[in-house]
Amino acid sequence: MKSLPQATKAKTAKLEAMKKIKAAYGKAQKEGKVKSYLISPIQA
Amino acid sequence: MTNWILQDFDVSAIPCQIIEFSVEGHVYIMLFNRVDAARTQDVISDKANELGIEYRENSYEVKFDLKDNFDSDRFFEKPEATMSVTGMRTLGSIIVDLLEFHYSNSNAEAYLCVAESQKLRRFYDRLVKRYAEKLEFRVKKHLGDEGLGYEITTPSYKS
Repeated sequence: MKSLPQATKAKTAKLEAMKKIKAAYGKAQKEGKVKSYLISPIQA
Repeated sequence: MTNWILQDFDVSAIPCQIIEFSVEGHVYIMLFNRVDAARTQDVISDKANELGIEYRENSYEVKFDLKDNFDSDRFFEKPEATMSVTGMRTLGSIIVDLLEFHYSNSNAEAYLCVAESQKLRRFYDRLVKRYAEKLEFRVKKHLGDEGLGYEITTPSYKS
């Protein structure tokens, strides 16, 4: 089988990682385990 | 400058952060996940070999997207509306500020990211040129066959 170009593989892996994290984020939200903070960036 | 909303949660007991911010009415997120939160050790080793980098445990992947894309699972789709030059500069400046902020709180050794397109690669290259030295970050850019990968090592990178 012809292998995918590097960047295509990298982007596919990035997408898969994003899906996994989104799923974990959704689960954490449902369980009330997402901690939120409001941050005021300091102006340079 | 607008406030940021930081959300902290775990993936397999490994902390991840999403930071939300807006520029010219567009709402974005930057997502930081430790590399081992989303990949097995075998995959991490293979990827590091492919890219010619040395994996460090306290390394983070950085992803950047429109919040709408993230919320609707249309990850990394291009925005419909274009942004002004000033907006792009502001966006770049905030991305750098967020990296600096994250580093100051995580002591990360390295950040890894992949540009989604050649246009974004040029955008990231401009940020590297303008800010990397100021932050004392070293950047290996154009990694991989299509040259879209980046490794940013911080002063905490242990040789």
